[in-house]
Amino acid sequence: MKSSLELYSYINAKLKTRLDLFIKKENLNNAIQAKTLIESFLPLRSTPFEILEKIYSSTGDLKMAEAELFAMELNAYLEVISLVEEPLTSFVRALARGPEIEHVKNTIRLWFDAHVRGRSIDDRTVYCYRGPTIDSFNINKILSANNTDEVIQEFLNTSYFAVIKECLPNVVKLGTLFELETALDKLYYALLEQACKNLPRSDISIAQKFIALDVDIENIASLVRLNTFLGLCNTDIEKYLIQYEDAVSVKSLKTLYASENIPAAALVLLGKKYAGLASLWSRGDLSSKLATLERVLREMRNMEARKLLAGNPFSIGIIIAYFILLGDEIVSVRTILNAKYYGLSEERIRSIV
Amino acid sequence: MIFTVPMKLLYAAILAKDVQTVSDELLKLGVLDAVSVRELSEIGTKLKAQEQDPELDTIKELRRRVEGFLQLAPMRIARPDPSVYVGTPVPSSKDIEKQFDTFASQITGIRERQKEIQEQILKLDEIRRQIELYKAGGTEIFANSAFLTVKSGTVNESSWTAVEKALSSLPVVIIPGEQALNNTRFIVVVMLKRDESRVIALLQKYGWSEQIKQAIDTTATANSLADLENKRKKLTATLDECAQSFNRLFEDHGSELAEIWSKLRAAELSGAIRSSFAKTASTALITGWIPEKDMDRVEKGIRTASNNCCYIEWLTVEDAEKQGLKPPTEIKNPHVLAPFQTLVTNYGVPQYGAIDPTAFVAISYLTMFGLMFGDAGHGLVLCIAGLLWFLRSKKNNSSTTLGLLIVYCGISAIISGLLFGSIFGYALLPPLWFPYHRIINGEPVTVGGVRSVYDILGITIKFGMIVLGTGLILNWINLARKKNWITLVFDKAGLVGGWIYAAGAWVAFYFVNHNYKALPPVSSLLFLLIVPTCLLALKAPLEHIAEKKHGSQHASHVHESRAMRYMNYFMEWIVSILEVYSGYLANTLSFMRVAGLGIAHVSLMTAFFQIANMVNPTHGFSIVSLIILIVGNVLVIALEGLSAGIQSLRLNYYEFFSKYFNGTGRAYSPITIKAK
Repeated sequence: MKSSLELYSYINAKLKTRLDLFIKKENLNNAIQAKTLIESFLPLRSTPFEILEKIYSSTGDLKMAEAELFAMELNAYLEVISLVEEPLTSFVRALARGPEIEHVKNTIRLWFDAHVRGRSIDDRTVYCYRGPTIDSFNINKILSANNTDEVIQEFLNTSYFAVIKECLPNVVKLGTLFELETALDKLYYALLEQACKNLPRSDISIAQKFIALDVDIENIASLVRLNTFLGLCNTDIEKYLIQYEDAVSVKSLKTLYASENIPAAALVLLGKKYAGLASLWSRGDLSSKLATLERVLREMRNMEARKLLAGNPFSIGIIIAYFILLGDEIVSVRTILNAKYYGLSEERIRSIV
Repeated sequence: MIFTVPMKLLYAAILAKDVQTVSDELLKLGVLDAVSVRELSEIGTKLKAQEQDPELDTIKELRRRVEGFLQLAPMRIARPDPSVYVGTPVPSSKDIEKQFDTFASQITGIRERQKEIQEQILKLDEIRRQIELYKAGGTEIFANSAFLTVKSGTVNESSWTAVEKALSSLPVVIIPGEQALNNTRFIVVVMLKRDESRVIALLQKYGWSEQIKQAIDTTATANSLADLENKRKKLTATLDECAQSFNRLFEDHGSELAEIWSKLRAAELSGAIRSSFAKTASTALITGWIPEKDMDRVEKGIRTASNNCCYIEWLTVEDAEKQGLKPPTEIKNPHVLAPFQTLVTNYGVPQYGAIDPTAFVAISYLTMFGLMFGDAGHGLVLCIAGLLWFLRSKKNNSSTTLGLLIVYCGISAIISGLLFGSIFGYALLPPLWFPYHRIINGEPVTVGGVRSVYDILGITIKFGMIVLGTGLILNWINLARKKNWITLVFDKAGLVGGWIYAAGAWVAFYFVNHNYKALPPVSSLLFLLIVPTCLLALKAPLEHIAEKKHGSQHASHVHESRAMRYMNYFMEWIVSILEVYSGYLANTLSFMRVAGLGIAHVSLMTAFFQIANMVNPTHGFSIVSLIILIVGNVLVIALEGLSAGIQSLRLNYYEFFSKYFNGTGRAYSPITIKAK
């Protein structure tokens, strides 16, 4: 096996340089302060997001710019895959399943809306991502599929086939996609865990810590959704939770689910595990429970990413940190542009970003 | 040019009513480096700073906003000189904000229109995707589509033109029937499901009667795709019209926005000057640094603006320093030296009153570059490249410094190329000094004083000694001007240090000239090296005595025991000796890199000549060998040019500057209308 220096010197130096090109806080601040949507694009000039202004100024369509943001994120993963060697290729490919699974979910959601719920989707299909992916599937054929079998057939040669084959008929019967979406999320973590095992020994613990944090975040978010939107009882939630050795146990999560204020209890629970979290939630306003929790969880990921960046420069940590911060930057840009489009106040935007 | 620009501190008291006119006048003059009232140790605590005008923040905000609009402009909009608007009233912020909001809403209107058109285009694209997906299947398969609806029926033949026109603006595909029957025309309409009700309602106005579906044949599908493409083209043309409307918006309002920008900029800067004033109940106090040569102009300006109701006093730098104020540094050089001034300021700002090293840097930088990159042909290429860069930068209104520096380096390389008789690695002309290529390639040289690689190394060492010696002399001048006599005499970079350096150099040459077998007599060594080395030990105790005398002892020295103090003196002395002997030796030998780079330049060219000879041993014309030589020259110019440039800079920064340059000054930054 190649040494850490050989594996990481090029890619980590490249990604660290790219991190320097990320939008400065000052630019994001200027975008937030801009009076109108058109003015909020200006601080994005001379950044990787410059293209968004070009798309918006030639079409006037913000959704087109948003679609480009998704393409940017997925392409970043695909590019890194092309620049690394095994065992990193498998691990980054597994990481890339994250946005790709979101793409799969979105595609199935559209089909579900049109064929199961009978809603019009033609105003949304045009914005679907149709660029390169890791596992290719024909999105047009899926959206036009007449039944579940046709949808399943389109995923035949992908990693998602088994899960979709198992869950899709049932979710169609139930009328909710939650089970399929959870199954896809579980698949993502399973693939990630599998890829993690092949990493150099010193990297395994770094990657496992990242997976555990991600699983914790995902589970907490699921608990809030299960409680708020589905109102399930404590005994029914287990199948929707992701189990991972280093993450918060399902038993603790069930106890958490029973508490009255899930976000507050979640923060206490996570606070025991992640040092420094207390300083984050003390700034938050727990009255807007869900938004605060989401923001805190996002900040937690960023905090861990920054720790990774300050750590060993020849480890998987830099790659993981890069994708965490890239994802966060994309979320921030998307949030600001949408907030400007809907005319949200500066304070309101700051509370979200 | 040799020293930094002399400064004076302005103290002026004016009446509160004249604050606006005086600040406008000072802005026009553009020479006041304002000093905040809090920096004044004597009166700083007794006076209030001029209250920050809340309007100033609004003006700044509006200026940023209009800058944003100007950046959005598809064409370059010239901004009028803001100095024209100094003192002219600015329209109310509310009015400007209203104007900006209107302008922004006009742009948003265009974007909204674009969005509508884009949606139509996307719908057409979706229809095309679906048609292509179902191409072979006909209308029956369309019936199963989750997106498309296909309706067939007739409309009145007389209304056909109107139907075509009405549907042309909608994202639908019409496949007309072959002929009209009973004054009706059969048509098949393909549309997105969500547009169905809208389209049918429109068709009903023209006598729409739905009929049984007919199969769509391949020709009809092709026609529908052609119709779709036509519609798409029309919509794209409309999008272009939107872009033109956007351009027109800026053509119509661009100059107006630029004028507002200039007015806001003038008001903002005038406000910035005002905010630096201190105030009492009825007066305002202006404090700031002014170049000595501008004193009369500033005094006259303030007197005129305040109708002579003012009190003006000028403080010398020494008096100002007593109040804890540090004068700013302005270095002024002819424009031709601009690249070297940039090199100096990139390192640091010289202390006020110190020597401005720009001219020395220009000489040493170019000499070193020439010694490392001695080829007239390569120099010519650099000159042309630098000139093109310079012209391009000038055209783009960006900094021309780098282009000018490359031109100078090119000229230096041409001169040294002529001295070494090298043009693109060929000895086309007899060398004016010595044949660099022949010496490096080991060919016998029997004329001149430079005949071997060692002679070349010797030249660079002597050159290094000149540079370091110059650095020491400049340091002595700086110290003498500051009246820092103890450091001037006893410091390692002072006279004693210079003495050791000169003596060390003499000893080294003596040793070399005696075939590395004899050193000077002990009595000479005692006088030349041991005496000054002992003198170095006096620096710390003398400084301590001087500090004690002036009551300016460092806090850590006050409670120091005598034994500890002597130990510190001793340690300082030991460190100074190490620094003098090892430091100066290393500094001098460091200049051997100049020869090293020069030798590498020649060696690389020789290597490419040899490769070219290998592929063409007959020495006739060969395209391959020509390409090798061209590529070789390009590589040498690029790599060696960069290396020589960087190494020259490094020698200036670390060997030359470290002897005398203290980059702890503060740059003079007056509030001026010319500032961006």
